[in-house]
Amino acid sequence: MHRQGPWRVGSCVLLAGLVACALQWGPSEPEGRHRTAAVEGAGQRIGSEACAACHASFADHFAFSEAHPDCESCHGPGQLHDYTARAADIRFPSSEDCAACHGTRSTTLLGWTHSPHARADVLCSDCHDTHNRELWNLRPADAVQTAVFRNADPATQLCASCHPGVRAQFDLPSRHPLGEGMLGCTDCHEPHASRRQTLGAATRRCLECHQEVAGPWIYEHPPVTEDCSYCHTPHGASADFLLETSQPAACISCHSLPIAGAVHQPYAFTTACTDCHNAVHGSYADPHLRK
Amino acid sequence: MAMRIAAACLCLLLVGAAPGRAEETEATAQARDGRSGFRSVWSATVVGVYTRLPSPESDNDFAGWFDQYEFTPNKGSDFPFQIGVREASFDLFRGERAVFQSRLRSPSANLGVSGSQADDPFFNQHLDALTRLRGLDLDVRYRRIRTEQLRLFPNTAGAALVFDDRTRRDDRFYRDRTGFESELRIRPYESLELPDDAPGAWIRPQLALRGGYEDRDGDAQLRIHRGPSNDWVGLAPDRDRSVAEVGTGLVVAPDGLFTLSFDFDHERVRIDDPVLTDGDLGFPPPQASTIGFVPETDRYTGTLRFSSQLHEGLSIEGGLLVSELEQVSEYTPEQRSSGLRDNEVRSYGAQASIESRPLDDLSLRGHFKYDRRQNEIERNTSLFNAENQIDPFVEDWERWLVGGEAELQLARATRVGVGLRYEEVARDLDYAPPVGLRILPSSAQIDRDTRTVSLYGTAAARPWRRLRIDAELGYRWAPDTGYASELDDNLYGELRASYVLAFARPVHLSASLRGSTGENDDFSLVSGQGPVPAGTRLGRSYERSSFLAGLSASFAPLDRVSLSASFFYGRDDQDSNLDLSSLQRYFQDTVPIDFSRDGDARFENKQTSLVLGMHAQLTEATDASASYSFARAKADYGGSDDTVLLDLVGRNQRIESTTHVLDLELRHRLAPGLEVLAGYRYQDYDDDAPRVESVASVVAPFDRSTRQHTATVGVTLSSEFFERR
Repeated sequence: MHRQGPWRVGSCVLLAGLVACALQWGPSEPEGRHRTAAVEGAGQRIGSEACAACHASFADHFAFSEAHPDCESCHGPGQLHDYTARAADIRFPSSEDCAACHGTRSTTLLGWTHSPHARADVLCSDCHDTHNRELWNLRPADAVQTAVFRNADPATQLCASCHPGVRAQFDLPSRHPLGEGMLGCTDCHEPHASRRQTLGAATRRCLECHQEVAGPWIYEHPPVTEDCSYCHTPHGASADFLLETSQPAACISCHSLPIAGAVHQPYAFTTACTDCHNAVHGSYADPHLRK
Repeated sequence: MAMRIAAACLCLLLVGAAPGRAEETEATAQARDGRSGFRSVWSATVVGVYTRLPSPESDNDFAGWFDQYEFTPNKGSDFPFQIGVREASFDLFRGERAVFQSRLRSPSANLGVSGSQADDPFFNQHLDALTRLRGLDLDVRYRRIRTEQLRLFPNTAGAALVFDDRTRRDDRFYRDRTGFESELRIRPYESLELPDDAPGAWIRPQLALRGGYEDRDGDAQLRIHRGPSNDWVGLAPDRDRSVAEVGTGLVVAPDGLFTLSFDFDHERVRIDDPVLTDGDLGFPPPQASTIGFVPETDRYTGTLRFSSQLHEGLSIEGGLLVSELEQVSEYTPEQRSSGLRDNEVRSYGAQASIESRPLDDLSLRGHFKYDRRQNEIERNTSLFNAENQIDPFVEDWERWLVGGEAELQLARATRVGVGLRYEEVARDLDYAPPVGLRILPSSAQIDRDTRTVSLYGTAAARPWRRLRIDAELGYRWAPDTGYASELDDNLYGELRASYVLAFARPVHLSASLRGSTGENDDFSLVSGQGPVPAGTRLGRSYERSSFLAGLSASFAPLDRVSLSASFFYGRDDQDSNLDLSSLQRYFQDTVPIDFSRDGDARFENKQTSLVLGMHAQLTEATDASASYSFARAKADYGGSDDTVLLDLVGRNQRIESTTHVLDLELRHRLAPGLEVLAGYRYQDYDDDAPRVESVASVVAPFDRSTRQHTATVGVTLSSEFFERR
């Protein structure tokens, strides 16, 4: 059995230290992030042609439309920035700016305000770049991230650049084939909302692809009806079939009871519980889930 | 042959079109100036891929380890190569506005396939096509993917198998999915260019129509136990089915006050194979018991979602869901004989979140979630008589979750928060009559209620300009648990930190740690057979500790060179007592083993991962990139006083594998619109865990270890065309 005391004490000390840090030190401008607040004294509009004089690299990537008619419709007046050439003197659109139009035109952003990304200060422009021509104006991952997840789809490469721990799980022996480009993160995850906001039970998203385990069965396995994650982990696992815990440990963590009067017939024991109980998700013929 | 001709024509077309780009450069400027003409932009990457695998995976009819995730066609040919279009795009712009965009991706795709797969070569194709017109969006998504299943049986052609494997050695077990999804969204007020004060324009409606179809082919490998003769039979039944979906939706946003969305979707799952029974397989004696049956179903789902910014600093969003899943069309012999036709499950869901900022620096959040699952099956039939109801039946399942959080902004990007969450799961369990071998409440492995209270704190701080820290620490207490593996006393936490080392060339570091530790000693059972005297109440305990720690770094040592590295180590330890069933097991009908223990057992799982990446722009026209990944998985199961049998089980379930992947690619732009590439990929999977067909068999399945070399050469062509004005 494990000793949990030191772990708990350490965790409490760590949290207390973080709170102390937060109280002790004052604000600072985030490293590498652009300002989204309005610029005081930004001056007048100067027109997109004036912007292109310096930002020539964007010249091939402007994607102006009725919604984005020119640079300053999103970045605000550029007169001060044109004079100082300081990044701090131009604003970048906040997520609220984007949501003002996109939030009412589709269901995509219905849950954005309450999503983990929004609460972690992730901006729309961290993933989308209206200057490029990718689908959904998706910002490409940097070249190194593309190299380490080469066959994944572009959106998945972008997710992996901020979530390297999740990326690492797709190298494990059992995994959903994202690294091979078969699936992408957004096939399961909604980046504009949270898991808590997903309507329906936890199995709903899994059953959109795995209808063959949805039933309805006659003889059910109760955990299957509640939450796939009782047994499976979605990204990657050591054990086959994305089992979080390999057999027999996965099964006997629940099924350790002595059944009154039960005697197995003289069946050969092979290598896994599912050698016999192969209809583990549910059955139409056998209450013991053997076929 | 037709495929090869088509590929050659495509290449010629692309090569012929490529030189057009240079002369269009001037037109680019013209079009940009005018911003009203049509412009198309396309690109295509045509590749040739050579794959070398060791025997037996080099056989077309043998699924190797990597085929599980990326099927490799044509590997059994004399010269194992494919040609194909790896990426392609076509965009159409009107002025600077994209009216049509499409992307085709096919990491392993494939013309020029020979041998047994020549008639069906296009695996792993992904196409997204978006159309954007005024007030009208059309999204179409096409997918074709194939994954393979490794053989369950060794099938060593003549070896002394314990199993009666009726599959042929060249049977492949695979799943092939081909399908599309589409959604059409219409915004009439935009299409008709209605003024804002036009009647009805204020509700800003958007109508959506959805449709999709997926065809699923494949063969599965089944292991069916044959009771009378006490052995297993290996089968390869077809698994051909289709899934069709249609749906509609309406979004309204009256004057921008709130957004309301209503959706209705219908899904049909149809099985193309007849019901398989024991009798069909000639089991002695012939029976009519269904094997591996998957029902044909209809699912109807309605959802309502809303979102509103009530006023500055107060927002609310939520939704409702009703869904019904019912069996249709095909019934099993058991269903027909028992008279059971209707089998349906109804689900309900609701959720709401509210966020308020009563003060500039204070955020309050609340959330609520409710799910319910009602099993509507008719239980007054012979399918649920005293003979065949053994486990408790879950008639109704409900889950409530409510929570609240308060977060205080101490400074810019510096916040602390505290939250409280309560979750309750209620299961309406129906137990069988207390006769025979039935599960009773005193010995059930599932309980009626799960109740959990979680208290957690969060902090986000940027104490220095270059340092950012995010942390969460929580304690979860469960006065009732529904399963023994749910923790009734759990401490969990997560820490993420990023830091920029201020060298002449900055190094970006990030670290993460996520962990959980807890236990459940809430369960006890009344024992029965086995070494423990009947009627004794046994306490169970279950402990689990897990963590995942990682460190990542990125660095640009030269102007045009960037490097990245990440390392992760994770561990999961589980301890339990009373860990095995006391059910008697036998070795091939010879030696009875009382397979039970009342003592400690442990499960350990360790995962290590290293990913390295490099990108270098060697010249203005040449890029090189490389990556290497290493993953090691190790899992052990055992007990404090291992018996011979437990040792066998542990040995057969041991996991010890190492994966290495090396990937190199060089790209060079020969001319505007013309780029060549060369790549090499090495994949090695090394499985050190011994596997046997069964503990009573001397036959070992094939070795999972394998390595694969893949060399790629390709050319990317791109061009633009303009409507001259």
